[in-house]
Amino acid sequence: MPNDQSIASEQALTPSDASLTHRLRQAFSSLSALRNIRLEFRTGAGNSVLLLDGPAMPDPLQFRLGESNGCVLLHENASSDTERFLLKTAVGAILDKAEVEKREELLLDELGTNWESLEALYEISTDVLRFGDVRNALSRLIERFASLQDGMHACLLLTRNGILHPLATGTPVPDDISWDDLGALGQTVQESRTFLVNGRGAGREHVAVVPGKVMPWTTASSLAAAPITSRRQTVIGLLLVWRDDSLFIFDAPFSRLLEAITHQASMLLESDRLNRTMLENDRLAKEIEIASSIQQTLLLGHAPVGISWLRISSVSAASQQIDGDFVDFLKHDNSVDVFIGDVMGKGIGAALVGAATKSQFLRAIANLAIQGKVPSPVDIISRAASRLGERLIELERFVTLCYARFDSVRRCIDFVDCGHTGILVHRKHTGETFFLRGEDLPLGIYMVDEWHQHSAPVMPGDTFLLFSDGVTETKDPAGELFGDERLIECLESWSSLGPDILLKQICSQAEEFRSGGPQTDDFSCIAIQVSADADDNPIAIQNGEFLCETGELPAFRGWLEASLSGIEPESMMRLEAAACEIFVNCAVHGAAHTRENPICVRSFMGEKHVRLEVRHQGPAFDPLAIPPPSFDGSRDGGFGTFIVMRSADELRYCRDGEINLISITIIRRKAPEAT
Amino acid sequence: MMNLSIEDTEGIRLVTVPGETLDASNAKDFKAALMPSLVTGGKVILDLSKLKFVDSSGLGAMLSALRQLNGVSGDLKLCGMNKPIRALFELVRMHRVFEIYNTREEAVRSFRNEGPAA
Repeated sequence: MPNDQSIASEQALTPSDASLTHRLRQAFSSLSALRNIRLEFRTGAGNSVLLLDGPAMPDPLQFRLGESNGCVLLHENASSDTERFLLKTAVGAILDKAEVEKREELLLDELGTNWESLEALYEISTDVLRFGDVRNALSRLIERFASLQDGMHACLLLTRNGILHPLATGTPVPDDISWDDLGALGQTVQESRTFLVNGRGAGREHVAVVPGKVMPWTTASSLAAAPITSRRQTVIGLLLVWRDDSLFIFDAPFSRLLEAITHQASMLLESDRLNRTMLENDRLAKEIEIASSIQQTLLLGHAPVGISWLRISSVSAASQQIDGDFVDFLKHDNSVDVFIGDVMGKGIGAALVGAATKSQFLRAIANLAIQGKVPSPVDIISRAASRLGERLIELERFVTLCYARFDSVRRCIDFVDCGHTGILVHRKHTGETFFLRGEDLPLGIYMVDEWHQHSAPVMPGDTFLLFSDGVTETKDPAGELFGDERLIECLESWSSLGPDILLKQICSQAEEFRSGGPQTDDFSCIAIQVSADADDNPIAIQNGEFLCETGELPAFRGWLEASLSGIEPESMMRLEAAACEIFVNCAVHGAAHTRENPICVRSFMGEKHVRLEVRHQGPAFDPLAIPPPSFDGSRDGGFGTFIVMRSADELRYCRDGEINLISITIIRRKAPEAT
Repeated sequence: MMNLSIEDTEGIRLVTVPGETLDASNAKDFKAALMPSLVTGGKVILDLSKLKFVDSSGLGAMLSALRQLNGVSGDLKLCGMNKPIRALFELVRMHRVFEIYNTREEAVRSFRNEGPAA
């Protein structure tokens, strides 16, 4: 008989409860006739279904049904504990099996739902790849997500300056929502947690109601939200979903799906950010390339050619593609101006200041030249500095600069050194190497009314180096500086081969010194070489021809001494040392046909110089490819080229077909007068 | 074969380089003539006072002799260089590698630890 519980129809049971009751009735139907078993099924809502109609007992066995409030009541009058245990075990086993099956069904449902979601995500990802439009892709993502359930609404909001703006939504949403407007939901999401609530009035209870703002989710019966995060795990927005009806609830599987969708949205946004950064970097790289090209044109002048008494070469390498070094050259009737500057700092800013400084100098020269004569270096500096000084001080930039003029008439250099590195001079005539320095401050330190010009003689064979501090401040991996000493060593070793090779060798030595490390500063260098035979016509010329073999060396030395008899012993010693090394090189490397391939020589003697030209067919000679000798005595060879370069004041080499043409010039050193 | 003048005095071998030049034309001959005097090691002085000119080949031959002697615990000193040859040695920094004395007597004294180096 039904007890005091209301008896419900089995048709009102859920499919899983109906399946369970069916199993219980089947299992116990045969037993009930023997044992008077009464079996009741009570739903979570309190309705009762009588499965076996036995007598009601005062203390029936009760079996709880999973997480619901339902239960099964077993009324029995077992004759023993064993019988009671068996009955209890049987009911328990049926209920356990039913619970497992129910979970499997739920898992299958969830899997099916997620599979659809994954398909949707895959499609949307493909769309993103195709269109590359993040807003469109996010709209598709939200639209597709919302379509998973009829009646579900979705909205993606992103923060900008503390305000949440809808980026993708199928429902009109205000454009000025704050986190506070979202109440408990906003607070939870800001803590990087997922928010989930179901039940009538859920929206009104958990989200603040703001007068004047119509937020559609305030009428929701189910509401969920998950955070959108940046790559640094900062919350930058949220995906908010809601339902106004009670047909579906947002449960744990839905929560996981929501998190997967927001993760996908976060990835789309991050991908878009990276893409935009990449495009920006590309754009910046192109701008730097253009600026670098402009700098090469505007800041770096070309060394003049065709000056009879000077050979000039320059090199400049920027540390960041654009540098603040600038150089320029100006040819006048009887002089050549060379100026080099270095703006404090690097990059585009330094280059702009460099361009402005150079421009101001050129204007100063042009304005002063109107007065009819070539302005002096100090006048040019004064004029340019008066216009530049205040601006540089305002910009908190300063410029070191050296302006030098090589005067062919007075045979001197006039220069103004404004805090620059000084001018390094190697004088072949005396073998000395020294600095020419001024005492003026860099432009832009403070306003200066008076600048100082200095003069020094220029002698045949002299080599002048003007350079930026990036040359001597080149660092090796241990942080040691290249320094003045190494630069002087380069100058003394290679200057006889001319300014082009000298600068190549300085660059090569500095690069080798860096050992693959970065170039941290701009690197500019100008070499100016005064011809060793400048303004000195030969007064005696002699020709000779020798067999191409080392055995001819005594004869060659005899010819050399006879041809240049009367020159000072030191000059003769230098020429003889260099000439014999060259003769031996010709004999050793081109001795295949000694008679058909003679070594032809010609000597020139002037009042101030002597020169020997050697002409011989043989393999090409590259002085830069020859390793330096070992100065510790560990190797016998390798001294020949070194002796030539150190003995000659000027060494020129060129090829005419298969012929090597070598010219050695020695400046005549006057013998010291007897005291 | 180059004829070297060799004198042995009180355990010191004095070798005088003949001729006025030691260059690519005779450096090989010089090495070949000098080598027998070096194989047993000992104290050797090269007297260059007759030489007027040395090139890189001559320099290389003297370096070879120095290394040969050092390899058998011997020692080599140079003396009698004229100014151009001394300048060449200084140009290639070999004055830091060789012990150089103005005269034969100074070189001998230095071997006997009797006098200061030049």
